[in-house]
Amino acid sequence: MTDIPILSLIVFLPAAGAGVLLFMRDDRTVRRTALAFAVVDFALTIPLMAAFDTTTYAMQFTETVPWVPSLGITYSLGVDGISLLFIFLTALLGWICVVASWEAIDTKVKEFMISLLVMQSLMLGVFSAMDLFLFYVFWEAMLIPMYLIIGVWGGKERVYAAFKFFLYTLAGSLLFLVGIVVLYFQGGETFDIVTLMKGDYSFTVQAWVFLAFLVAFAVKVPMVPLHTWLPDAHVQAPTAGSIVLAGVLLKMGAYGFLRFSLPMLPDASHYFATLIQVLSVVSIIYGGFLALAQEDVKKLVAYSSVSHMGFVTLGLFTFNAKGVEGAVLQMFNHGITTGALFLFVGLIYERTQTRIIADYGGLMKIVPVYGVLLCVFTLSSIAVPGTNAFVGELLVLAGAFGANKAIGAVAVAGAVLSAAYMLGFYRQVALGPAVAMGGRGMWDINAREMAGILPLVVFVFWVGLYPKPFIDILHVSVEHLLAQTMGR
Amino acid sequence: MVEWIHPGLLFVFGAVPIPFLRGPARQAWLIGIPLLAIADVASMTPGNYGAFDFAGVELLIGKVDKLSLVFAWVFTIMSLIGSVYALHVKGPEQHVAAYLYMGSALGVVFAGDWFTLLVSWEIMAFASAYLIFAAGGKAAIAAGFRYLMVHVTGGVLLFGGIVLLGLETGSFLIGPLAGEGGLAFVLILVAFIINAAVPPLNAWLTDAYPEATVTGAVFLSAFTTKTAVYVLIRTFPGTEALVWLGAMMAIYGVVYAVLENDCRRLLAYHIVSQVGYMVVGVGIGTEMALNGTASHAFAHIIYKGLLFMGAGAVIHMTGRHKLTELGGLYRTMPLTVALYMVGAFAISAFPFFSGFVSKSMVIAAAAGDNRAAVTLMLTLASSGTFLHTGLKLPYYMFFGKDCGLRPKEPPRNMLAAMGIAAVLCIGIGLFPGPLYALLPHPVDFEPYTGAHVTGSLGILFFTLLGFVVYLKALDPEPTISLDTDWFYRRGARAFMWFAEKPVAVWEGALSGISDSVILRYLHASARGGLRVDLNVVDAIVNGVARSVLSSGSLVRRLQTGVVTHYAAAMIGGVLAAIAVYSVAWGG
Amino acid sequence: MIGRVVNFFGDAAHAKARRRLLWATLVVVLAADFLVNRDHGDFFWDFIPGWAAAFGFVSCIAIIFASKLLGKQGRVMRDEDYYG
Repeated sequence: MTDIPILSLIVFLPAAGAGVLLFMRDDRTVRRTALAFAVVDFALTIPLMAAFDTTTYAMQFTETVPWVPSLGITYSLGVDGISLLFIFLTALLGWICVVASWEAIDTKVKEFMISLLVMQSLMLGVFSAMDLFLFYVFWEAMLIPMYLIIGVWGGKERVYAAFKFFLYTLAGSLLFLVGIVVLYFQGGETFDIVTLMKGDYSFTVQAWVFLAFLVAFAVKVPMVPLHTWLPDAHVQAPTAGSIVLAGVLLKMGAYGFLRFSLPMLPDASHYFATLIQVLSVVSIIYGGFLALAQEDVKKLVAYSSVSHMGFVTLGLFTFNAKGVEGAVLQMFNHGITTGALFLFVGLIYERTQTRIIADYGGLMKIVPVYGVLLCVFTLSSIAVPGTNAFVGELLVLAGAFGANKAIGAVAVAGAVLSAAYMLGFYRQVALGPAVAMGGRGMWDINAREMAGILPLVVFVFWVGLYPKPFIDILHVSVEHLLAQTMGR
Repeated sequence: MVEWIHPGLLFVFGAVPIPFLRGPARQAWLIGIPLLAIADVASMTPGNYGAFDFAGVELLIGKVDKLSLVFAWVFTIMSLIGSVYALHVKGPEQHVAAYLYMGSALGVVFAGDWFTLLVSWEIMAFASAYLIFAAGGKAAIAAGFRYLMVHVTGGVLLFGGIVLLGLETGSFLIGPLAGEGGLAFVLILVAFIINAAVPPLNAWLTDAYPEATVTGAVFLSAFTTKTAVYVLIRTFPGTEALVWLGAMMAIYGVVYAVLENDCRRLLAYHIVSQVGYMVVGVGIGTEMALNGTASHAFAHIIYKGLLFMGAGAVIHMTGRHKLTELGGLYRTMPLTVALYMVGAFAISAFPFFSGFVSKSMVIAAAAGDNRAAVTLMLTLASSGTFLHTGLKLPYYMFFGKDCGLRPKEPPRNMLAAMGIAAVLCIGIGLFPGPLYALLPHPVDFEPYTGAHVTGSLGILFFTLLGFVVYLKALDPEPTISLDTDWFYRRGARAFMWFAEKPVAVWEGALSGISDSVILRYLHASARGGLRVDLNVVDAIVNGVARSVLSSGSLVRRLQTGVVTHYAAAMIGGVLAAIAVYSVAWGG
Repeated sequence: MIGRVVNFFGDAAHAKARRRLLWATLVVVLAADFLVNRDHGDFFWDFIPGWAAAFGFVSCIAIIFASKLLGKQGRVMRDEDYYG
């Protein structure tokens, strides 16, 4: 690969697109331009994936430019096995969100697409940042477009939900900032992530910073009991907002654990591991129970996200290769599957104007293509063999059982719960007699929508049947991460 | 040519063209694939085929030995019989589902490693669930859903057990399970006995099978429980608990069957009873016991299929399935009656029928292992078997009080399928040699001794005497019987109540805390931070916005709306924090 | 031919013939039990002629009785729309 700053390109292209959009007038051109930029951005990640060297854990495609040298801040981007998958996921979901919003957003389309593209850039920046300050800037700035997306284009209670989302995350992030500053001073007045990982901090420092980070990340993941912003945010957000919220934003919390807590604060991580494992298991079961009780389909998927992310955090803190690999793979899988589920929910909501599960029925008869595809993602959500989540869950369970049998057993119970609410949901919605639904009635998936769904289907089965390429990408980086976490 | 073709793949890939074929072409295909599969099984030689590596785990999809072969034989034969029986079904969906079901059952039979087994197991659950959903109607869909939930739960338990087993032993190849009593052992055993319908985990079978389609139930009766028996033989031979579970099961099924009004539910309870014999055989674990189990499974698939086909034919032609609403059909359906009775004699172990040469082997194995109580229990169950399958059901369905209907014989394909099964039932009874040759261990059993024959006849005919004497007590009543599914059907409501009330209320409270306490606090602190440099920042933002950006109402919103305040608070906070800590930590 | 056999067992006209056939069979079976070879046996009852017949009859009664008890007194038998 030559010296093309491909990461900067990937990160800032959507923002450039947003800039271009400012000068456009009519909605049609706006949509098409936004889509073009998002698709090109995704296309750029493909050579990134292809040229990635899976045999080294070192950061690749790095770009380092001093930014504020006196404060030790550099503009530094890079990817390793762990972040690569998320960059790919974000870029993929980016254009799918544009496609999903094609007809759903019909007021202030330009502003919406600008917000979406800006957020895209910021999210990509979060995953590629190698400087802690830069990371924080991206992390915080991301809140604004998300706040706007929910608050302007959302449902009836959108302002309340956006407000709650913003404040919860902000509160956590301020603690994050405190932790960052502490690390800065303890690590030799640098914000460089790789350098900070090598630092040796006293246990007290580690513990306090870990707890500060924990609050920040636990809000984002979300972990019980800091999760209550999620259901409201999802219900009120427009479809694209939900897709990106569930598909990408939630992963950032777990990414934070991966990138910061585990390698930089290994002693604290070990010390608090049991706490995290217990919280994870609580999230799995609690989220599952609540999902079972929901009448609103978006809330059901929201709580299922809480439950599924519980598996992820559980895997991360098992401290063995299988668990961590499984967790990272599950993050990717969850992005695909839950992104797809929200896409489907969005489709049905646009048509019938209702999110209440009891109002749906017999979709298999009315819209068979929708029914079959929904079945695929339902099965993926339950982790049926052959689907992506099976491989991830298998690895996480192997890791969990390896760490603590009791916790593994409870996690298994959580898997049964997820089958219960997803199958119950599918049965109510797709099987049974056809129900006359409100709004504009229900019609089957058109070509444009299919274009957004197909790649997700492909990944469900690709990862499920041939996970090797994905595990290869992760493997060396995860091993190195574990060495950093265990070797102290 | 290829070394070995997996017959399961023949069905799985054979399912693909089905929706695209019409009329005679499809019918030829539906018969052709099973014939191919039978030929495939016939030409197999024992060995290990199809080993490959998947993500670091060694898989083995073709473990061919005597045990897998005997089950493969009966599965493929049954696939032919079932397909012939279902030839008249118009829509392709049931055929596709049945093929996937049979293909995955064969996948389990030949699985040499746990993952192949798990994947096949799950596919079986979903494919067979479809055969229940396909019947349509509220009851069938509800029953299908309960069936699926039970099987998915079993699948998850199996999954957990396999993961744990892999961790403990380091290998995923299938073999008898050591470590009796460990967590992995228990999880896998429970998963298997769910599929084998061992009480108290049997209710899914008796709940769902009678709701399936007429042709679907024939397939269902054959595969799920027998694959469970197969894997039990493979992995839990000699497990003592199974002996008692099986004996209890045999009687449980028989007792419930006497109470039943729905003809297929009666037969379903009977499956529970017969599988009990097989489970006892697995538990005893001696060579004769395992032989008995395998031969009983073989014979059972065929005669149970025949019984379901007979009952299904009646339902198909009359639309009725309750014994209280049937009777007197012998006048117009003599062929169906005769064929059904062949199955009934077979299941009752009449001499010269298949059950005699298979069931008696299990009982003899129990006797040979010095288990008096078990032998008596199984013999008792034999009496009960004849009582309800050979006497009560045909009496109230075909004879007895005339219900007034005069249905014709069922379509020719159904009769043909029943005929094939009947021929096999009698053929195996008369010539047990070929079957015995297939059994996993050498057979040292002679069914046709004088004592065996008169003993069997004695039990059967004197049961008949009891039936005749107490006929009145056996009259069917329009009721249902509560089984252990009461716990999750009623229990599900309690479970849901828990999810909806206490948990949701707690969640609401948790969510509300944020609004009442935290937000108010944050409001206050935000106002405080904002007082500091609001004017300065706001002015800058205004100026910048005015000069650079001139379009978009969005920007106007940025200038005056809520967001500015928070952005300001944020920036102010960052600056303040850096200032504070650089001072505190001394740089 | 099958039809005629089935009719024999079904039609009311043959009730008496059926009864006689039943008694004859019972006698034959019981008698045969006394005539067979009883060298091999695992338990004490294997050596008793007529044991199978008695056990069959008693089993049948026991099962009918037990199931009726379970159904009625054990309240297992319920109305058809119990779950409905």
